[in-house]
This record gives sequence, structure tokens and C-alpha cells, in this order.
Amino acid sequence: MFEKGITPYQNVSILILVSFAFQTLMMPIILSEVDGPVGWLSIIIGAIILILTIKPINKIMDDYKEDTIVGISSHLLPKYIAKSIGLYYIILFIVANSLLMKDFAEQIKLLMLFKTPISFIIITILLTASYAAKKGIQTISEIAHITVLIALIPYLAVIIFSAYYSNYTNVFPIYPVDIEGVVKSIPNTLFGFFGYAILMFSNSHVSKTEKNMLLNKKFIIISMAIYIGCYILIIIKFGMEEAVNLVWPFLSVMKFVNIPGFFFESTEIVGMSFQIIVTFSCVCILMYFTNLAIQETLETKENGYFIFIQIPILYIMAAALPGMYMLYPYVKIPAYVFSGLNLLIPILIIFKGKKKGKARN
Amino acid sequence: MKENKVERKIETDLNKNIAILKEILKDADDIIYRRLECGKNQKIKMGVVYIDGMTDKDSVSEYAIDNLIENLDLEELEKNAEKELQGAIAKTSISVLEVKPILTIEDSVLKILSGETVLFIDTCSKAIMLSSRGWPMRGVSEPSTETVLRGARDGFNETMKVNLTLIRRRIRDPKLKVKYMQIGSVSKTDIAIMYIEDKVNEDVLKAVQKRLNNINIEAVLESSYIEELIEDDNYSPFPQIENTERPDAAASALLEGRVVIAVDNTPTVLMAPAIFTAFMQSSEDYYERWLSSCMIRIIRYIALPITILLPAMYVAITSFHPNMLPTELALYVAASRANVPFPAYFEAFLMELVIELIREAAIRIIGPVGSTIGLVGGLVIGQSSVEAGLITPLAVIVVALTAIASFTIPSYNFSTSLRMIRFAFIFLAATMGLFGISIGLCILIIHLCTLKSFGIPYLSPFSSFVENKKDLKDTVIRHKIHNLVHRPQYLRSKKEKGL
Repeated sequence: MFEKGITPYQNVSILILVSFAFQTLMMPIILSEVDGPVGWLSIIIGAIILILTIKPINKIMDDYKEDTIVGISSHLLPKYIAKSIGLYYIILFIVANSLLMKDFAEQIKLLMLFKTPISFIIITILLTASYAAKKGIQTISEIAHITVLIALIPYLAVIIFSAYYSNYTNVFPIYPVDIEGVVKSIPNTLFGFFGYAILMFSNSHVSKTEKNMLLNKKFIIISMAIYIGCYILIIIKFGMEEAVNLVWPFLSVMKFVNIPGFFFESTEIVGMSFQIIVTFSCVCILMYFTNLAIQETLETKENGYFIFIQIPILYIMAAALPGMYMLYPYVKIPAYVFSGLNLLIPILIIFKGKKKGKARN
Repeated sequence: MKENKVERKIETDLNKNIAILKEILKDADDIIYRRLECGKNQKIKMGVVYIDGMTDKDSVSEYAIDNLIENLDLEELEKNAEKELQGAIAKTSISVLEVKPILTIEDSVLKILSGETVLFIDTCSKAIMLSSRGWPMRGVSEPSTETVLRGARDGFNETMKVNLTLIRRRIRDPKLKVKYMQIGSVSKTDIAIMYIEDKVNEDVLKAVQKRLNNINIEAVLESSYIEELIEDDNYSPFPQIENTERPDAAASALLEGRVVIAVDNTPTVLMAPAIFTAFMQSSEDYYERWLSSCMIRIIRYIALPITILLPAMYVAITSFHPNMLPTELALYVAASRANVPFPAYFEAFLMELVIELIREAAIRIIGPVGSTIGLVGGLVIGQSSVEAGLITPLAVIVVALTAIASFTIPSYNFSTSLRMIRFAFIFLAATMGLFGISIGLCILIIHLCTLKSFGIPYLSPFSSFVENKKDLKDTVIRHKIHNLVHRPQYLRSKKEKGL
């Protein structure tokens, strides 16, 4: 009688939460890539592209219930390609997680712990997150659901209060549109929908898979709304000229939060506390799905101990990465590659699945 | 593991049976052996065994012994009874309400030790148990640990059957089931599992029964023994089974589809499964007007983070992030801390320790003196410590506010868990400031997400708040009674509607 999988809305929470973390990470790139305040156009285009693939990929997933994308590809594609897909997702999750952690640790050091070595912050996050990731998908999904309730929603609600004294005319001019910039930044915005890569694994754990298609679409629409909302908030607050120079636009926005009666002076620390919980949950989620990708690729049983293999790798990668302000110019190319592959792999599987379906008929 | 003892059958020789019993129950002067010669011609020899003080002697002599001695007609009995003499005696000559045949010596010993009277008949290979439990007991009074503002003032006492009666009076439904069992190889404590057949989640019920059956312990002196032995995670600071002394709370739990475990000699019954929100609720929430109840619940949920985090926040802000405070306040804090010899974390820890000492002392001292000690102790120590320059006035305010907030949590054991966690947060704040508090919160969330009570997620319905949105009507707020027609979804009860 007790459910063994996760509920459909817990899955949505996982996807929204992860996407939000990467949206905060990718925001400076989108701001700088598009000339003019029309970055929201590339967010909409990115979302539409993803929505178009949701239906066919869910149909394939329905045919191979309880299989993740790695499992499905091993049914449809040659073994070495299936293994390569598994390997790709492992690398993607590890790289993404280390980027997230580095960025996060730097923000904490800058705002909260000036004297503490960054490596100490990283190892603290890693060890705590590994405890959660080892507990399994149900714990992870519950954490995501609770985090949405107690951290993400209050965080977004608090951010809205920074809209006081903003210049709303900053959203103009919409025309003429920097079409080249918009097209160029689509891969970056796609990276901001990181939940799309996660759903290739998480959908198979949902207890009621028939709801997946609708809720995957809902996830993309909600994520898009948050993405656009935050983008516009930053634009109206700072204007394009200032916004392109911001390393952590979300933190900068938090400085201007003006809640009537709120007596704390540095509101960015309050926002940071919420963000710690949000990002921490994302680190847990990514660690769990890296573990799952390793299991699927190596075709092993459920094994939480792969988490311990990840810890030194993530630690070394996060510690070795240069600061985010130095890293942004180099993030663009990996973002192109990862976003492209994130889209291409499901399309390849859809194509193969359809071909196999036709052959069977 | 259950002990496999060889059971001895009751002999047909009365003297032998009495001798065996005397051997087993030797050096127990409170056990009474009374020999009788019954029937009109005193032809039937019988023996009555019971414990003095645990038996209602009057009812046994009035409804059994008198009749046996004066009216028993052996010839008449033998005509009707064929082989089963004891059965015929039980049917025709004993008017005690509950009578059972006993086949073994071990069973008869158990019954005697439970307060029943056992009647041995010469030439019969079966004895008769006469229900006669009766001992001095505390009356049904108002529970001292759960204050009642509105609602029934009766509380459970130490006699399980009285407790079951108090629940039965509230639920007159044939589907209310009671299953007895005994736990404790020495204490042989009576346990009753109660549930409503069409409401309980079968998986929860099976889990409760399985865990109770697996208990291997010598004695159960309080229901807390059972609680600790059957809960999901012993290492968690959070209680996973709710307890109450109030019959209305137990009845409400049964109606929700939960399982109630009553333990003899304990005025506290257990209710399982128990989740986070259950510990934040009180029976009065349903007896007061719904709007006032909503406000009270919201206040409790505001008090919850204050209870856990306020001293830690004080430490983090004063030690790591003074820039968060408005300039005037930051200057005041800095000035008041200038003469204090201790760092903020030590100050907070010291004051919390003092509060815990006062609280513990107030509980141990009987009567109104206890609360006076608490009040005077708090005032005197707080005032003197500030005057002596040991702590800042702000620290006193923080600690006092935290203590008051912790009193708003209705469940004592849940409130104790929160107090314990508070110290961990002070430590984290002292080492890593707000980052430490955030990490602590993350660990707390992870722990609560892993915690289950008989398979039910501890953070239900928040952990799947979209699917269980109907349950949200009875969490932070308490909706109107006629909107609470659905049984908690997280319990996965058989029958969804109710109330």
C-alpha cells in the first residue's frame, strides 16, 4: 500500500529546483550575450524547443517503464553508444555539480565566511549532501518538495520586494531585436532548464507515470516563468548597462530588498540563507542522479556507495576551478556542447524508438 | 525469541495440583489456598487459589463459593454432565460473569498472578478461572500532563480495562476492534491494540502487530518501553509515536484511522503512526472556534523556529554578521557586550543551560513550589547575571523568548527534542555563523525526510503537499469542521471520508 516511487509533483519540484539553481548560474551569460533587454525571447524559444520533445520522449519512456534514458538507449542503440550516453550523463552531472558548488561556495565566502577557506565550505556541503543522496530517491524528492515550500517560494517572494524604486522602462526597447544574440544565447538558456536532463532519469521513478507528460510540460512552463521573471527583475533594477557586469545578479538584487518593517540591513545574507538551502538541495539531487547514472551505466544494483566515489572527484573539481567571474568566458562552449547533447540524445532515442516501433508493426 | 516451556497438564488429584502450585509459587505469602468441600453432602472436594489484594473476594464468594457449598448436587450434575464435570459446574453453579476452563498448571499460575481466582476440582483434569480482578486503583481524573481548557476532563489511569472503557464510551461502533496480547517474559504486561476496522491502514496495523510480537523483554513497566521498542528510528531525536492521557485524543486518533496501543499499569496510551504535524496539534484545536484555532496553530508554527533557532541566530549575528543589524542596534549590542567576559556562544549556551536546570528543578519539586522556583530562579538569575556583567540583557531576552516559545509546543516529548536540537544549532552558529545554521537546517530537513513512522513519511503532508492538499486543511491552519470530512490522505486509510 505504501508508495515506493516518488509522486508526480515531487518530480516537478526536483526539476524546478535544479533548473532554478542553473538559471541563477547562467543569468550573467544570458545578460551579456544578448544585446538589449530581450534575453527573455531566447528563454521562450528554449522552452518551446524543450516542450516539443516532451511528448515523444515520454511516449518512448512509457514503452520502457522503470527504465531511465540509459536503460532505454541500451534497448534501442548499440551497447557502446548506450554506454557512451551513460558516461556523458555522468560527466554532465559531475561538471554541473562542481560548477554549482564552486559558485555557491564563493558566494558564501564573499558574504558570510570571509576568513574560512573555500575548500572547507565545499567539503562541508559535500559531506552533508552525500548523507542525503545516499538515502535514496524518496528522501531526495521529499527534500526537493520541502525546499520548494520553505526556501524557493519565500526566496522568490522576498526577491519581488526588490522591485521597489525600479525603472520599468529598462525593459525597452524591445525592437529592434538582436536576433543573432537571441539565437546565440538559446543554448545557454537551455542549460538553465537543467531539469530537462534530470527528467530523463527521474521520470522512471514516478509512481503514476501517466501524469509525466503533462507535468513535464508544466515544469518547463513554470521554470520559464521564473526564469523570465528573474531576468526582467534584474533588468528593471539595474538596466542593461549595469546588469551585464554583474557576477551574481541574484545577490545584487537581494541587496535592494525593501520589505516594510524588515529591520535587517544586509538583506542579501537573508536571501543567501534561503539560497543555501535551495542550492544545497540541488547538490543532493545532482549527487543522487550521478549515482543513478553510474549504476545504470555499469549495470549494477542500487548502490549508495558510488556517492563516496563522487566526493573526492567533486571536491577536486570544485576546488580546482577558478572563480566564477574568471570562468564565465569559458563556460559558454561547454554550455553549447552540453545543451546540444542534452537535446540531441533524447531526439536520437525518439528517432530510434519510432523506427523500432514501425519495424515491430 | 519466544521461550518454549513444557506445559504440565492439570492432574485429576486436587492435592497434587495444590502441591505443584505451592512449589511454583513458594515463598509468596500473599497467595491464598482455600480448600472446600462442596455440595449438599460435601462430596466434592475443591480448591480455590488467588492472590490477596489483587482479587475481588466479595464477588467470588458471593457468586461462586456460596452457591458451590450450599446448592451443588453431585448426582444431578453427573446425570447431565457425562464426562465434563467442571464444565457442568461452571454452567450451573457459578454465576460469576467471566469463566474459562484451564488445562495447564502454567496457565493457572498466569491467571492467578493476573488477579483471577482459579478453582480446582478433585477428579477433574480441568480447572476453572473465575474472573475476579479487583485491586485498589486511582480514579478517573483530569490528566496532569495535558491541560484541558475545553473538553472532557477525564483522563486515563493505570488500569488498562478502565482506559479501554473510556475509549469505548466515545466510539460505539462494532468496527472498533481490541486485540489483547501480553509482553514481558517476567512482567507479562497486558497490551491492547485498538483500531477501527474499516478505517485503519492494513499495512500500518500489520507493522504494529509484527513489531509488538517481536518484542523480547523481561518487563514492561511503562508504555514508553513499548514506544522505544517499536519506533522506526531509535537514534532520531524526534518521537515517532504520539502519546496521550486523554481518551478524547485517543478516540480521535482511532477515527483518523490510526492504531492505539494501551498498556496496563500506564495512564499513557500510544498512537501510531505519528507525524510532525500531529505533535503540533492539541485536542482543543478542534473544540474551539475554527478561526481562533487557526490563529493558535499559526502562533505555534511561528514559535517552532524561534524555539530552535533564536539563540543560534543571536550567536551568529553578534559573532559573524553584525552588519545585518541596523546601525543603532549593532552599536548597542557592541556596547553591551564590551563588559561581558564571555563570547556570545558561551553566553547563549550558559543561559540555555540555566534555563534547562530551572526547568528540570521545577518539574522535580512537587506542587506550586515548583513553578515558584522556576519563576524566582529565572528572574533572580537573569537579573543578577546582567548586573554582574556576565551576560547581556539581550541574551536574557533571547533565552527567555526561546523558553516561552518552547512552551507553546503542545507535545512535551516533541518540545524536548526541539530543545535538544537548539544546542546543536548554537554550536553550528558558533563555528560557521548563518552558514552553519543553514547547513544545520539542511541536515534537519534531510533527517526529517528520511524519518518514517510505520511507513508514513514524517513530514507528511508537506512532503507531498500537492497530492495531499486536502490534508493541508488541518496542518498550519485548522479549517471548519464540515470541511474536514476527509480522513488524512497520508494515512492511506481504507475509507477516505469520515467525521
